[in-house]
Amino acid sequence: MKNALTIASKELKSYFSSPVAYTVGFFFMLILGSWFFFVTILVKHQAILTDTFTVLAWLSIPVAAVITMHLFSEERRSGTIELLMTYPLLDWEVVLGKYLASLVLYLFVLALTLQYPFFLTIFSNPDWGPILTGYTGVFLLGATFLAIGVLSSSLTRSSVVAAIICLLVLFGLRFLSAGSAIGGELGKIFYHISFSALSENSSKGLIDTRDLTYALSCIIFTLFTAVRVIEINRWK
Amino acid sequence: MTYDPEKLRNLLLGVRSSEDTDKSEDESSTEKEHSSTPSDAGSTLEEPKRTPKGEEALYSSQKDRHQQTDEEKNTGKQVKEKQSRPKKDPGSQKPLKRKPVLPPSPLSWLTLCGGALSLFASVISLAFDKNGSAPIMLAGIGIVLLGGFAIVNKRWLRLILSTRSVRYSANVATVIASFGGILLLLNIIAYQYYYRLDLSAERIHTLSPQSLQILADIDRAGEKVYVTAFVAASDITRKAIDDLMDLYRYHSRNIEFSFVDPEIKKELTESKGINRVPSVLFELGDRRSVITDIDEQNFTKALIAVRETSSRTVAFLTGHGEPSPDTGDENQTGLSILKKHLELDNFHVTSIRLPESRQVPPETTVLMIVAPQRELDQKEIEAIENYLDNGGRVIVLTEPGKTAGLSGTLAKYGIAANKDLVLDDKENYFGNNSNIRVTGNPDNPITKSLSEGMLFLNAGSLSLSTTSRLSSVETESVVRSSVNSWSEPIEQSLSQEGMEKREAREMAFLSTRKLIDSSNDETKPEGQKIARLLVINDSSFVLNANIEKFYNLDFILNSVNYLAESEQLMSIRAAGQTSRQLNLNPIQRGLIFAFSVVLTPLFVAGLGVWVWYKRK
Repeated sequence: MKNALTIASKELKSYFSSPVAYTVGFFFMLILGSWFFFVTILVKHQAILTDTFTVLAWLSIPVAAVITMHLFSEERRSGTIELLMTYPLLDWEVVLGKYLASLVLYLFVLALTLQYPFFLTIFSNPDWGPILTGYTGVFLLGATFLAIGVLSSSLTRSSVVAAIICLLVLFGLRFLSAGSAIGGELGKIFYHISFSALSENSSKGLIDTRDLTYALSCIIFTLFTAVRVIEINRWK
Repeated sequence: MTYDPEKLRNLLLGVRSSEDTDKSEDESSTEKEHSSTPSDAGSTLEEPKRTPKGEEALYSSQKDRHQQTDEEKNTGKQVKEKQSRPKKDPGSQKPLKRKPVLPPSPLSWLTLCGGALSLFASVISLAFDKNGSAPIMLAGIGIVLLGGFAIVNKRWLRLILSTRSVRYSANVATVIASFGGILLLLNIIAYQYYYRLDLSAERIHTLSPQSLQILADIDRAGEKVYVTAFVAASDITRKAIDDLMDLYRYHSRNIEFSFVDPEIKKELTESKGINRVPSVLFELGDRRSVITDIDEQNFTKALIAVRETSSRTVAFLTGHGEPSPDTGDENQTGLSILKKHLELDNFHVTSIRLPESRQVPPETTVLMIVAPQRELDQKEIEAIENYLDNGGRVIVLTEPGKTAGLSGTLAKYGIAANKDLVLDDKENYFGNNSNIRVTGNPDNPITKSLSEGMLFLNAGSLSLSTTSRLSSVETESVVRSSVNSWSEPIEQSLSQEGMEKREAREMAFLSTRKLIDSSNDETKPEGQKIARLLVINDSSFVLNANIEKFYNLDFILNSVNYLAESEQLMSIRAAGQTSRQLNLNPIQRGLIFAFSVVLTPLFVAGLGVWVWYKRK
């Protein structure tokens, strides 16, 4: 675990010394801040962040793709992956370290949005239950998207291709929610696997163990698969 | 026979002595002799029988190796071929010709893709056509195409699948699939057995204690309730209804929920007696209840109603020229359609004649007084008032100017029926000013979902009366005419003098009176009974000719159900929501704009520029 943390801190330093973190943060805060002000404050006049969390969930997709696209692909392209593989590190430590770094960066960006409920609390009386669960839901969604991004990055040498794979998978998953119109049990399955259930339940103040189980399963499965992919590449 | 230990040792170690080399060269052309007579090679080979088994085996292999080494020196490339073939006369050996293994052709690749797509399509088509032949056909086509690809390219497949990297990758894929399978199983279990935590302040996603109690009672009794929502697939309320059903589903496994699209299953919808969508039908045995206003309160009330084993009775007062509920539906002035729908709502419908029964039967849940044409006598009025004083529920439908002696009773409950006719030249039915469209009070449970309104025909207005109103009577408006309406006195209904005074008129009032209960009735909340009186100055709208126009039927059924409900039902209140209104002045708005839209993104960008500058 110590090795994983070492890799994480190294990746974090790399993030914050490159324009990636700041570019992502700038556009993320600009779009989300505009939505919060022009819709929640000016149009709806309600101290409710449901819409903001919905937008945040969708914005997390490109953010996850950008943050994770270079994690392994850049190393493979530049050849530094061989050097990394020669270190006395286990594959899971490498994957976990890089994942943790991307997660911390995502948390940093999320932390900047805490000003929204802060303003609502000063000027009105928002219900903090849905706000807390909303942030929990958005964090879990982001963590899942980042894990998928890590896997995408491990599959290819090209950062661009990794980003495209990640975007296709994530948007594809989210658009599966259209399948819920079928109705019945199959419709409910589509509703859950597209993360619509997690997003909607959390934004209205509900914590459902089904959503938590699904998100955590996705994270564990994708990271496990990424470790196996790294293993294959090592032995090729 | 003696052994040469040195030679034996050399043979075991694979070291050739010069003597052996000479001898093996002499013997190279007579392979058969060597193979059959190993003793020819010298003293160590003279007695193979005395050589230990292991040494003999080793000697044979060493001997073959020697032979091969010599052949390698002489023939080069033929060595490998010789090794793989049974030993033959070297002069008669021919090189083995094998066809090269070619990769699949583009057509083969197309076949593979087609097969995979066909299988995928069969899985997807299962969702839409479970019982049809499409999934089977597509699966069959996929299997045939994939099988064809495998047969045509079997050598290539065998070559590819036998490579080390593919075997290793297949091993890894199996591990990943197994792990994924375990997580999938975990999710399936979690989907069946889950827990929800509602952190909203008003617990709006949690059922009320009364609803939970009813569900616990249902589970304890082992009853099976079937709830069917008749909602079109495109209806935007479908999601909200599903969410509500989810709440009940979470707390009870004895309720079966399903959806029916009335646009697709018209016959089923009609056979169930559903005439308004969206509606939710509750069925328990032969009892049923239908709600059109779909929220927790009505959901739970319907569950209580279907579980109600004691009969609820609606009694129609007769003997004064009232329309009868026992006519056929073809009788335009009868009440048979209303009776039929009341029975569908689990009411027992009877008629009573007060002079004979001398009192309103105590088991009467609701007393209906519909357009009496003759005056009620004093004893009948006293019987009705006694019934009300004991927490009774009465619906009075009068005709303008014909209160049949009930004016005093109505006045005690704060209501006066005016002797007028309400007219409307805009909100009317086919241009007839006296057939007016009226709307319900959106805050009243009886009318809040009746958005299209009702059609009242030759109706009069009502007004509040305070002259002889009893204490603890509360009166609220239920139905009103449009703001465009006016009223004319009954005697001068054709005049248009009142047209100048256009305003909304009260058409129905509901009075509620809380009584002190001195009885020991344990079913009622301690110390209190509630009497209810609903008065409408129109009776034509419930006749067979008119009851199915607009929301007339729903209105009268809602009224009966509302008056019939017990205090237990009345205590179920929907969770209210606190207002989260945000009212900001320009300075506050400017502050939020500055921070959220301008300063925060600039801060992040500035941080990036600073880091870049430091590293420069």
